[in-house]
Amino acid sequence: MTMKKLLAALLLCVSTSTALAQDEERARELFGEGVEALQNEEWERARTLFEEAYELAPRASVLTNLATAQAQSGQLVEALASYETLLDDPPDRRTRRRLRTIVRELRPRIPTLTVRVIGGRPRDELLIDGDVVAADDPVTVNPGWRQVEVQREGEVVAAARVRVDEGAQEEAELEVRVPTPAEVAAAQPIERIEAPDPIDVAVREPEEEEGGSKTWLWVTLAVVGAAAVGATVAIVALSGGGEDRFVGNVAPGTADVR
Amino acid sequence: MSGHWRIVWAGCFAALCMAGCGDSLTQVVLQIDSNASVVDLDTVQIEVLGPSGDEVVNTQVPLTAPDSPALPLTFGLVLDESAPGEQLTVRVSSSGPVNVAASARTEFIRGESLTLDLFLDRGCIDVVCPEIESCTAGECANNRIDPETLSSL
Repeated sequence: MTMKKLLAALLLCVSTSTALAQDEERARELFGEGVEALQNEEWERARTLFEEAYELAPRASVLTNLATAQAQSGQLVEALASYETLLDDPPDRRTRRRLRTIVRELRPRIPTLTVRVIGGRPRDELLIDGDVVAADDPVTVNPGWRQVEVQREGEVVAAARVRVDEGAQEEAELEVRVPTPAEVAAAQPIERIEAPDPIDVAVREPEEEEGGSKTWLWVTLAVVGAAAVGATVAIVALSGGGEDRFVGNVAPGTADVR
Repeated sequence: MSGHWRIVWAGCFAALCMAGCGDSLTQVVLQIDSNASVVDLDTVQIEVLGPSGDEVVNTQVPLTAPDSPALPLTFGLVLDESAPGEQLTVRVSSSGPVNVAASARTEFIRGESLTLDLFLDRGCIDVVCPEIESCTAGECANNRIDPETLSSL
């Protein structure tokens, strides 16, 4: 029984060390290709290769090259994070000094983007390049075109691409889209306005005083006029007339079909 | 009937007549949405054919410019009184990094405002359907839509 356990443990050790050796070998290959890509100034390719290598072998030498490739390919935010990780455990004083200089020069190059959302709701989520961020606060981003979105219950309700230059403190406004026709219909239901009930109007006979007769006439005019207006509104509401032409968010918003 | 009463009744008649004379709009509102990202779609082309088969709308809508409209895209189509029929054909397609399209054939209903939804489904990327079919969840199916099933605006 003890022998079997020993054998199992030995097999586990052998298989684990074999896997580690394979990872090490693959990481070495990727590192070599990455260095070659750096020398050829293929920054994106170098970054991908070093990222893969670092996953297999998270060593400072790989991270140093990854940080270089990140910085050169415009991923300044990621590059700063990599350099800061290296600074956490620097090999020697000289390297620390060099890393500090790099970080000091890199920080002001990283732009910020502040997005103000107009017409948003409290539970809406603001995303920059897929990451949820706080509205109205400066967010460090990489320079270039950034995809900004407002999501409501997982649905994108506003989106824009914002150009952010290196070192800039960009501000952008994102307006939540015009409500959908369904929302408009839900928000403004067509109310059926009933005509007022007929009102009995006592009409005085002509023998009454002239002034009294005029008063009754105006009362009658007002009541019947109100009834007519009410009936008009009711008829319009019931017939669906008076609808506005819908103007969409695609220019020119509407078109005649002949 | 005195002169005053004649005025009263004439006024009522005119008001009621005006109410009865109001024309109802005959329109279909296109609502185009997608579960693909605007970066992938990049630009959406909208083509609308009227009852005579003539193209009444052919527009390209960039989605990734700073002033681009957000999804869903909406557009109103109003049937002219003189139109020879009610048929409506709508085709929408993206022309960005991914190709995805949707189409629908339906009719206006006189005096009604309806909503026609077209969805650019990520599952339909690179799926090409015959002219009278549209792709939904990766499958092509007849794109004829009964206007009675369209929701009112």
